Parts: sequence; structure tokens; C-alpha cells
Amino acid sequence: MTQLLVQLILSGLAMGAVYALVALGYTLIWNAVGIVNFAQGDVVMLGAFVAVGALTNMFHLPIILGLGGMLVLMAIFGVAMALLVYYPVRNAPQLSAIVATLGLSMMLQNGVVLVWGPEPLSFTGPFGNATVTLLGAKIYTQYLLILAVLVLMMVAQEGMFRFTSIGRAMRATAQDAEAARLMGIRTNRVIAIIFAYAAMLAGLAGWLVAPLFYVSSDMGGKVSLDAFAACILGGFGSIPGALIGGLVLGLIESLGAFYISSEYIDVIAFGLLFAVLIFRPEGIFGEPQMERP
Amino acid sequence: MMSGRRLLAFLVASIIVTVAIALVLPQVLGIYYLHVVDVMLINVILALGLNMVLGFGGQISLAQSAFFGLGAYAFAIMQAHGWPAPVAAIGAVAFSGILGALLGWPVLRLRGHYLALATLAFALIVSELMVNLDMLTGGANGMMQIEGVGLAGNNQPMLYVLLAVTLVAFAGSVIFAYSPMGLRVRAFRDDLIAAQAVGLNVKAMKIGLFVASAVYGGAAGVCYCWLQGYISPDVFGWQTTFSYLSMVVVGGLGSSVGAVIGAALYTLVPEWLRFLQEAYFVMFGAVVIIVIALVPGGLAGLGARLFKRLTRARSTDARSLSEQEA
Amino acid sequence: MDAMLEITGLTRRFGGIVALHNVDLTVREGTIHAVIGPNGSGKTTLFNVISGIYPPSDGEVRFLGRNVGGMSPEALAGMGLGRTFQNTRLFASMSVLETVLVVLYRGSIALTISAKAERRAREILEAVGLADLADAPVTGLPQGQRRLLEIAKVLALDPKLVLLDEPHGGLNHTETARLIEAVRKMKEQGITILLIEHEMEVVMQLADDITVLNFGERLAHGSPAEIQANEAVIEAYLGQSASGPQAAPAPTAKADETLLSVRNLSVRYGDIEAVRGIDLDVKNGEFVCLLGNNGAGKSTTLKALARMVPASGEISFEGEPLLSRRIEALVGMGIALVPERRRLFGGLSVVENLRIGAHGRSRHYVDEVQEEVLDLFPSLKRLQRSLAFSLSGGEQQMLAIGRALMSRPDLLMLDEPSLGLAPKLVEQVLGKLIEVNERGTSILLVEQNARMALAISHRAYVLSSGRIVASGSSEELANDERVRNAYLGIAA
Repeated sequence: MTQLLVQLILSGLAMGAVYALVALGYTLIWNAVGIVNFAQGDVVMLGAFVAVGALTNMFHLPIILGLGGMLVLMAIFGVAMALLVYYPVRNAPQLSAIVATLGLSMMLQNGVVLVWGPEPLSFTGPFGNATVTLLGAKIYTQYLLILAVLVLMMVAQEGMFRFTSIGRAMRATAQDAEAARLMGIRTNRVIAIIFAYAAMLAGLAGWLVAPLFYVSSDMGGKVSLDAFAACILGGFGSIPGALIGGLVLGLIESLGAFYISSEYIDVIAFGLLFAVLIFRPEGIFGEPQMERP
Repeated sequence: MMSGRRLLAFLVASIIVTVAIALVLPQVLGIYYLHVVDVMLINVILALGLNMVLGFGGQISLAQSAFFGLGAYAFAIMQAHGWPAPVAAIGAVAFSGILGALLGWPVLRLRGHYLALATLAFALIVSELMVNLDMLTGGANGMMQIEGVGLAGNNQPMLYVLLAVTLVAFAGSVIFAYSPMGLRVRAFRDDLIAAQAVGLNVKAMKIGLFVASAVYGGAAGVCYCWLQGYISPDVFGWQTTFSYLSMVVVGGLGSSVGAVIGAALYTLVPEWLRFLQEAYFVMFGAVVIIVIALVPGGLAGLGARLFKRLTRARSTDARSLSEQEA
Repeated sequence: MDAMLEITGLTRRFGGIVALHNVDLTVREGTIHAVIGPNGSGKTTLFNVISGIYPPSDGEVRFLGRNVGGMSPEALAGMGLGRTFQNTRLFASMSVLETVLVVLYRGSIALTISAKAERRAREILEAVGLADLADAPVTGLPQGQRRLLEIAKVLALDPKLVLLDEPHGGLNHTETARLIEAVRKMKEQGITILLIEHEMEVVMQLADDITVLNFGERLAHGSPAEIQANEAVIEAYLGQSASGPQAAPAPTAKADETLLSVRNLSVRYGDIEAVRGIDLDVKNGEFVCLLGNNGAGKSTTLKALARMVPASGEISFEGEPLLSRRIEALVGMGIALVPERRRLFGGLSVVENLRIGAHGRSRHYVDEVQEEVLDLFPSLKRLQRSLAFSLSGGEQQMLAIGRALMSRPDLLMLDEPSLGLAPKLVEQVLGKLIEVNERGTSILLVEQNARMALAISHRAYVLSSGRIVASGSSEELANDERVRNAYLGIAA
């Protein structure tokens, strides 16, 4: 029985890690510019398509180059997002920003079909169906890769935030953009960098999850929603919250699907989310809203 | 503020246009395109409903697909249990409306992305239940052989029925917009705190707007049953909710005419440009961004501004959203 | 006369901040009662609690004899309590007439607007002088008319008590006169008025009773004459004198060289002119301060210099024009601003905040200057790793100044550093500034605490209603009646 449990936990953590990576993107953008990027999941999808559809399938690059190339392209895409989607609505009320990102979502979903056709793509990835045996249970090597990447990412990110000048500038911009400008920080550039980084995170998530499912134009929607839910659970705006929220959500879905009901797992998970929104919108790590006019 | 006379003239004009369409269209369009128009009219009803809560009320609701589905399934199930069509229709719409209230009440305090997510969660839960409660709903296969009003697949008579329903929905929306109720909702949208300070019951208004959007959504669902004669869950999936939002935005937030324009652009044009469909929707998405950032009031707003220059009438369009932050 | 509004022991907390503490206030029926006090004294919070936006944390609010603490704003409006907002809150998609109509129709299920209602609405507009503009859209209305519409909106409620929140902000003389008229008419109609205002002229003309708030507590109350003569009130506005001997810094040899030159500076917010025709200079090595009451325009002037708001006029710094530059360019030019309310990066440590102040410089430079700054502020030395938000108010202010000094600026500008600090701490902070100036940094200080500021600076400018009304050496100004009048609103 423990074998099964190990499998469930690891697959849950792996999916959760993917949610966490996407949730991180939400959090960074939210902290920096106060908008929620409803298209984040579709950026994940774009990353998967670019890595798989273009670089691997069309140009037949080795997987690692495909990954690297995709990350570079996603960074450029992120800057484009900042310029064309965020910038025009930066002073408008929340509704506008949400709608703008939903417009972007529509563009991305249809755009990939335009370029790569309606058929889903398959991607064996670096490990294909290979499995390893851990604690007596067989689990996909890909899961371990995902978890390893998450850990590496978090360490690298912490390092960047703490020890580099640009990391400090990013944190300052996120906390108070105008004050950051008073320090001589060119916040427009920093914001573009944050968007680029968030897009890279999304692309990375797409590349990691592609071998587990098909790469299709609608894969982004559910991921978006789940990552969003992870942010809420963990506390919107909190980086540890995004991480924990993602992993917890992944575990809930995995364990819940088996032990409670696989049919109703989404209803349960999102019913839970609904309840959190009503009763404790600040999530686990968030600050209860104390409004001051 | 539109005067009573002008409002009446506008409504009469709408009736005339509707009748004209009813007479002309069946002569020029084949069955296939009549069906497209039928679907478009259903989308108009959905967009009008979403416009209530999103455009007039300024509340981001992503639940419209759920109300669409609730109305459709409620009707089909009720009729399957022997209820006569008119009773089932009213029952289904009422059922949807009640669920609108049940959604609107707990989310009273939520705004912005929290509200968006809560309504999206609702839409997801509803669309999952449509599949899961298969004893009732037929599961993933949906329900077939719905009797409706006996016109399923009969696109021309359905056109008349749908035009009539759409006209009522449209008239209702316009009358609401120009009534004191509409004025209050504008206050609610423009500045919630100021609205409270002058004694407006903002809680009732928010719930009422959700109910209105649910009633419209439910009615659209009932119409869909009548038109198709069969329903399946993917038509009402939560991902479809974004299309209604794009219709309302492109047409113009807060404009009944805009809802019509948006639905038409979303439904009709891609049919003519079949082979360019994906490209069209990429462009549609871009238009959503451009409209929300630069063109307050959407396409209807642009048209209204032209109209205003000629006649100096007032509209209820959401003003430049950045101006609202006064 | 009965009490229309009776407040006892009112306290309101926001997390750890006590915005109001144990406030008592009684408004007699049919009178105009004014609430005044320096910036940050809690006046707007008081209104927000009375009008139902926040519930009281403690204490009671009784309106018409009923305990209304915690009731919603709409319920209070239903009882006859209306309020206006400091930054007018109008309905952007409406016309002037519709704004009044929506209030008249607030509870009605009617489907159309009756002729009777429209007449009533136009009457109300007539009463405030907006009848001609009935069909004008709200957006695009100039400030004066926005304020009148704000009042029309509240009149349509047929209120018994009206809270007017700084109704005269940004108006010129004619507009102010018209507004005073409108308020007087309200009183004649039997409406009781509770008024927040910082324009002393207006307060003294209108008020029957006055309550003075300071640091969230009631400092004094009484008739206008009593308040004007009240020493404690004067001190609250002008600030306490420094307790110890505060030697003004000695003027340095380069005092002739002009560092900052400002000519004819104007700032508009929409159509409000916040400041106009400002001329000022800061010479190399000088310590200059900008004084004035709430809303006089001191902060706005500084923000204009820091390019945080659009402005017109001529500004040159070290010979370079400043108006065309952006905020980010300032530190490179040698100007550093310590903003209002400090604006530290709360989630960053003390050291990180400091290092950000020298963003873009070499590691070597940053390390060196960090040493210097920590020597100057020993209390920060032991708090190096602490996160900025966990510091006390005084420590935060020191950190903000230290952060600004990290770029080794030629000119250090400070926007109300004493805000929210107890007098002892204010002395410490201002004392540090003397040290900074002695080391060669020129200082431009915006301060509400006039007495202390004058005690430590070389020269000063006094602003009132957006214009400079007095300037000269700090020594002379310290004894000048004009300063006192500017703060207490007695017409010059």
C-alpha cells in the first residue's frame, strides 16, 4: 500500500511543482505591477509549443537546445507582453487589466493553432516513459526532474534576489515603484525584466509538463486556473505562499482523486477554493486586508 | 438621460428592424446560415445578460457559461419529467435565477480578480457536475431528443421565435438602462463608496445584477434546447465563458447595442471567413486588448459618439475607465 | 438644543496604529461645528467612522439619540446623515442633473423619471448655483463646480446632518465665497453641519463651535475666539520649540553659489492650481526650509522638484535644467529625496535599503559609503539585518535619511520627516540634519513644525494657499507674525 501512496504523493508533488512555477509567475507580476495575468497558463502552453513544436519538431534541435532556445524566446515574449498588454492598461482599474490579459489568452490559444495546426503534439522529453524505483514504487523520472528543477529554480531565484543588484532592484520595484525610481532605478526596465522572467518560468513549466500530457492549445486553461488557485491558497502576493499553495494543491488533487473520488476531485478542489475566497481570501500567508482610504 | 419619447422611438425602431430581419433573412439565407443567425441570437441574449453584471455593474463575472448550461439542462430535465414546455421554460429560467442569487450573495465582498476567480470556480463546478451527475444529465453524452417546442432543427421558425425572445431581452436591457434602476446601477459602478454615501442599497444591487445575468443566461439555455433538440456539456464548458466576455467588451461595456454588435462579430463573421477562423480570433483577442485600453465604450461607443455629434443624445456607456478613478 | 450627534470615547485602531483615541465631540442641532487639526491628526478617520465606513474600535457614536456605531453608510444615509468627500466622489458616467436624480430615486422602483422629480432636482441645482449646467457631463467639470455638485448630491438626501469633508480645497476666492454661501444656506434650512476644514479663514467665518484634534486625540474645543487664543492649539500647528539650545549651522564659505534655482514654479492637479509662481533658491551649503499649513503646497513643491508630478516654470540645479528630467535621473544629478512617510522598502533589510540608495554604483563605493552612513547613524548599525518594516518610527526616519545619503547628494530634500514622530524623536532627527548640513550637504526641508525648523535652518520660505507669503532668514522669521498667521489662517 505504501508504494501506491508514494506514487500518489510524488505525482501530486510533481504537478504541484508545475503549479508552483506558474504561480510564481503570477506572484511576481502581481507584486511588481498589481495586475493578475489571466493569460499565464497560456504562456505555459506557448512555451511548450515553442520548445516542442518549433525547436524540437521543426528544427530538430537537441532537447537541451530546444529548452534553452525556448527560454530565450519566452523572455522576449515577456518583454512584448509588458509593452503591449500591461503598459496600455497600467493606470486603468483592475477590470481593464483582467480583460486585457483575457484578450491575450484568446490570441495565444488561437495563435498556436494557426501556426501548428489543431492536432495536439506529443513530446517524449528527456526521459520519455522511463521510470525509477523509489521506496519500492515506480515513478516517472520526469517527476523527479520536475521536482529537481523546482528546487534549483527556488535556490537560484533566492540567490538572485538576495545577492544581486538587479534582484534587489526587482524587490524594491515590487514594493514601491516610485520610491525605487527615487533611488535611480529605471523601473520600466525592471518591470520588463520581471515580465520576461515570469514568461520564462511559464515556458519552463510548459516544457516540464509536456511529456506528461499532449501539447495542445487548451492545456493552458486548467493550469492557469490551478496555479491561480494555488496563489489564493498560499496567499496572493506571497512567494512562499505560491510555492506551498502549488504543492499543496497538487497533493490534494492527487490524493483526493484516489482516496475520495476521481470524478469529483475538481468539484471538491474548486469548491474548497470558493470557500477560501469567501471566508479567508488572504489564504495561508497573506495579510488580512485592512483598508485605509 | 434619454427622454421617454426618445426611448419609445428607439424601441419602436428596434421592433421594426427585428420584423424586417424576420421577413428578409429567410429569403436570402440558406438553412445553414439561418442556423448561424439562430446561434448568434442566443449569443446576443448571453451577451446582454453578461452586460448586466459586467458592463452596467462593473463586476467581473466569469459565470455566464454556467447559467447558460443551468438553463438548458434544467429545461431538458424538467421536460423529460413530464412538465409542459412553457412551465419547464419558466422553471428553468427561475432555477438559473435562483442560482444567480446563490452565487451573488457569498461573493458580495469580493472584487476584481478575487471575484473573477470565484465566478470561474462556480462555472467550473457547474460544468463538472453536468458530466458527473450522469443519472440526471446523461453525463458526457448529454441529453438527446429534447422536445422543446417541437421546432428543433427547424431553423426558420426558430428564427422567429429567437428574434422575439431576443427582442424582449434587448428591450428589457434598454428600458432597464434608461430607468432610475439603471441610473442607480451606474452610480454603483462608477463609485461604490459615493453610492453608499447617498443611501443606495449596494448589496441588493449586486445580487440583483447577478440574478439578472443568470435569468438571461438561463433563457438563452432554454432557447438553445429548443433550437438544437440535444445538449452536451462541452457547449457549456467553463472555457467558453471567456467568449461571452470578449463579445461584451468588443461591443462596448455597458451598451445593449454593443452586446448585439459583439455577438454578431463573434458569431457571424467567422462563418464567412471559415478558412481564416483562427486568424480571426487572434485578431478578435487583439481587438479586446485595444478596446479595453484605448477605446472606451467599444465599437458601440464609437458609433454612439458619431451619433451623439449628430443628435446630442446621452448614452449609458461606461466612460473611459481611467476617468472613473476620480 | 438637543445634540444631533454625540460622540463619546471614540477610538479607532488600524492594526497597531491608533488613528483616534478617546475622542469626545458633541454637535448641537442647527449649528456648524468645525473639526480642525494638523496633518495626520485623524480628522478624516473621524468622518469615516461617523459615516459608517469603519466601525468604532471603542466608544460610541450617537446620531439622533441612536447608537449607530457599525451601521452601514447606506443605512446612515437613510437616517438622514449625509457626507461629502474631500476628493469629490462623483459618478463619472452621469450628467450633473442625473447625479442629483439618482439620489432622489435611491429607493424607488419607478420605471421612469417623473416631471416632478426633475423639477425638484433642478431646484436643488439652483440652490447651489449649478442650474445652468444641468445637462453637462460630470467629467470635465472644473473643481469649483465639482465641489458644488458634491454638496447638491448630499442635499438631495434631505439630510438632517451633513459631514462636509474639506469642501473648500483648491478653490479660488470667488468659488470659496460661493461655497460659504451654500453652506450658510444649508444652515438656514435647519441642516446641522459638521465640517472638516484647514482653511482657517473659512472656519472662523462659519463655525459656531470648533473641536481641535491632534495625534488622534481631542486637544481643545470651544468657540472660534477661544480656539484662536489657545496656546496649545497654536503649538500644535506651529510645533513645539526645541527644548535644548539649537545652534543654527554656521553658513559655509561657498554660500554665494546657487545650487538650486526655482522660478515661477506652478503645479496643477487637473484644474486645481496647487502652487503658483514659486520662486526659491538654495545656495551651496545652505539649510533652507519650506513652511506652511496643511494644503499650503509645500509637499507639492518638493514633489515637483523631484519630478514626481508634472510642473511648469523654470528649475535649474547646478546649472542644469531639471524640469525635463525624469525621477530616475535625480540621484545621478546629485539630488536625493526623503519622501513623505519615508517610503522605505519594508521587506528589505536595513543594509539592503541603504545599498539600494546607491544603486548602480561600484561595490567599492557602496561599501565605503555604507560605512560612513552607519557611523552617522549608530542606532542603525546594530539593526543592520532587521527588516525595515520592523523598525520604530524614529529608526525608520533615520534609515530613510541614511538611504538618501548613500548617493552622496549635493542637495538633500526632505518631505515632512517629523510626521508621526513624538517631539523627542523629532529633535533627534532634526539634530542629525544639522550634522549632515555641517558635513557639506545642502538641505531643503519641508516641515510642518515651524518653530523647530526655523531654529535649525539658515533661511526659510513660508507658503500659504500655494503661494509664498514670506521669506527671509530663519532668525527673522521666527519672530514674524506672518508665519503665525499663515498657519492659523488669520488674513494678512
